[in-house]
Amino acid sequence: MASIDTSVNRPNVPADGTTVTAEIDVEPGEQETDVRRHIALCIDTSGSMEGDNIKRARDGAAWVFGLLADEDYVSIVAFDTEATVILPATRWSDLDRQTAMDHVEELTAGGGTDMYNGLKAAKETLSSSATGPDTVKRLLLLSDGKDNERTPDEFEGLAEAIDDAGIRIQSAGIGTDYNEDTIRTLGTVGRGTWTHLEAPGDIEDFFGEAVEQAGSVVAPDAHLDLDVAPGVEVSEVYRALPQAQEVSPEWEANATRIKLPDLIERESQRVVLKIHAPPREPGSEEVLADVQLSARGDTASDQIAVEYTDEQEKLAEHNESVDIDHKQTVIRTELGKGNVEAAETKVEQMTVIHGEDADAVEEAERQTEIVKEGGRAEQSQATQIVDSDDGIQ
Amino acid sequence: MTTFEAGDLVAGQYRVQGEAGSGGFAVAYEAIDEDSGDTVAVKVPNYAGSSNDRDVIEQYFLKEADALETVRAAGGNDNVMDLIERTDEGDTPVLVVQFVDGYELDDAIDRVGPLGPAEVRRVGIGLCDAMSFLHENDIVYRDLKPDNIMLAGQDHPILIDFNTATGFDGTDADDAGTTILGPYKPREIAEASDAEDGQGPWSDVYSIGKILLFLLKGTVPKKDGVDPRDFGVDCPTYLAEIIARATQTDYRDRYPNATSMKYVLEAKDPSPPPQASLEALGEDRSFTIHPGDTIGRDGGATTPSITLEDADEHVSPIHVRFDTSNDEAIWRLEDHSLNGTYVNTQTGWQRLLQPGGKELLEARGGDPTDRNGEDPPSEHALGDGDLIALVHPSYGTTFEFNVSQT
Repeated sequence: MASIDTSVNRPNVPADGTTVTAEIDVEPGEQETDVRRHIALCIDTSGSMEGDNIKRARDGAAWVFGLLADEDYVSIVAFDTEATVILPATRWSDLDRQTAMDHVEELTAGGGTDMYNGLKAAKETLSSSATGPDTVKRLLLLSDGKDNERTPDEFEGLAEAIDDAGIRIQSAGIGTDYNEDTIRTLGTVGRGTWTHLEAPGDIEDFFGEAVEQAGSVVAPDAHLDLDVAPGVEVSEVYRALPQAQEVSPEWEANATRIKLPDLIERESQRVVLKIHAPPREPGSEEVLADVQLSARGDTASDQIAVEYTDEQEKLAEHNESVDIDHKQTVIRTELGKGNVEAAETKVEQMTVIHGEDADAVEEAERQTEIVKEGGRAEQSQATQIVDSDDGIQ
Repeated sequence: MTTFEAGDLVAGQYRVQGEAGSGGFAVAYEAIDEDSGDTVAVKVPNYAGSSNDRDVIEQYFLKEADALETVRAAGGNDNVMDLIERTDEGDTPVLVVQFVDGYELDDAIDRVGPLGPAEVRRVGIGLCDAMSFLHENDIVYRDLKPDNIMLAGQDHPILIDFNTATGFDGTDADDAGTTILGPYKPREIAEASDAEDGQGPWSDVYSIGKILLFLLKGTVPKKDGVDPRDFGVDCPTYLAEIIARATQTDYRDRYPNATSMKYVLEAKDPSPPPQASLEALGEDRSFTIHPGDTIGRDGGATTPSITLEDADEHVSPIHVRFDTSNDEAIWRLEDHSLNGTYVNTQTGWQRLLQPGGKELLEARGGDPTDRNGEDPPSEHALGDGDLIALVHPSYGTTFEFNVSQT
């Protein structure tokens, strides 16, 4: 079962208050029951997809078919000048591979990019099947273009509606013409990840990994509830893992809910935030926030607490790694947006506090340099820490 | 700092032609051995091109050197990179190894696209040979995946990169917050709390199965029990079924070891290879034996098919191995131990002892001969009712061998 652990950078704070950095680590626990996946492929078939992109998108769909189990559902929506349901939501055991492939052959490129209505149609196909703790719904979006009819705000609203319907979005942009804000917003608000695909050959992997990951979900629709003490303020909330993403949770009185991506077996999640400790009497130990994780009907709790003191020795106690994790997450998030200047400013702050020789500072400088020199691929990579399995060869 | 340039002479003998490739721990150069005129690869620790600590890099580099030395001592294998020499250049350790003219499997597929079923079958047989060889010599190879294999010519795989072959396996949880191991490792490794837990020769079978699917398709899922035809690959039924069986979740549903997998690939028939049985006399234990199965003691680098407790450690980690002859009718027992094995056929106890064991026994002043005063053979044919005793007929368990009546 899932568990949480909180830590703060400054366990002891002065009586006149201060802002501390906190992190909440979420361990997913083990998958106890198999999940039924409902996968909707939402594929851009505009004219610019002609050639390798559309061919590889068809291959990607064929690859997904190999990964499905009998009880899974699949649907396919194509969007160009308009949105078309190529394959309505169908249980995989009710399809045979050849029939499914015949539908995939209908994916041909031509026309504009009505992504908005493509997403809406995909949402509807996903809404036609039952929802429950053992059902994992995924909308996989692939696009190489811009929907000029709609603003990023409209996409944000749509992503919220999709999320409310119990559907998580994995969004991928391919090429250099898609709207990065839109792709990023969809993945972030849709509690999935967003990614850039460099080449048509990456499409199969994008679809395949998303479908396999959906099969390892321990708890769909997990969230953290924060209940803060009077006078306490929370700011700069980010998901650090699985992807650096800024989140803006809504507050109701002293409570807020931070929605988490579905918990995946063996993948830890981390949320980082700033929390303002108001003035209090020295010598008191104060709970700044009660944190409760809800995942699949289970809950786990921890507290973000500090001790007020005027002893210099205690005040000097510094858990640097919490600080570093927050700053790195901010830097990675900014790099994901291509905001190199904002990242550089943050790196400078890191250097002042942690010294230029700190590994984390060197790493942040290196990441920033890579994005500065690179393009969309580097931006997207910066938001997801590279697995050290690839590093040790 | 060790970087070489074309024209540099390394260890007084190897003339560098250019860089051949680099990884996290080593950089390799193509070079000419000026004594023999042969092309070789010269590997040195990759201090410059890696973010790892110098000590860590050197540690991994030396692990690879040790593993390759063990491979060489065991006589080498056509599908495993050969060590030519272990030397130094100044303070830097240098490994001179076989130069493989080809590409890593993943690069090869990137360049030419998926391979045809006939080539895939031959690569599979080569990988089975390599893994059988490593297993019978108690060498662990923890990271069997396409970028650790070179493809020479069309279908000749050669295992490279032994830096994870012993000790570290690089699978610990890391900053990325994930311990997922990629598509080539079976569940018993991915979920092992202790690295040894549940692993065995059947784990290699899984990795080879996944690699064969990769070669046929160019992509590979993490999913178990993969039938290439479900992914749109046009391939013969026998090959599809072999791959599906090799990649099963439960290891008991797979081929038991790489030798058995080679057997079915050669036969182009997915049905399991012949079986025999082994009964521990005086104990209530019996085992099913497949070609390639091994018996050894607990505590070696690899896990034998049948593990025996042996506190005195006279039994070797991989002590004996079973196999069938080419015509499939005759079983044989190979000794791979330091202390020898006895087989009781109709004519009495015959000692088996492989050459390495013989040398060791002679060096210790022991008698390395059999009851006729001759050099013992290292293998022996097995028939119904033959008895097998590890170390000595009076030591530990005696087994009775029987060919299955199926």
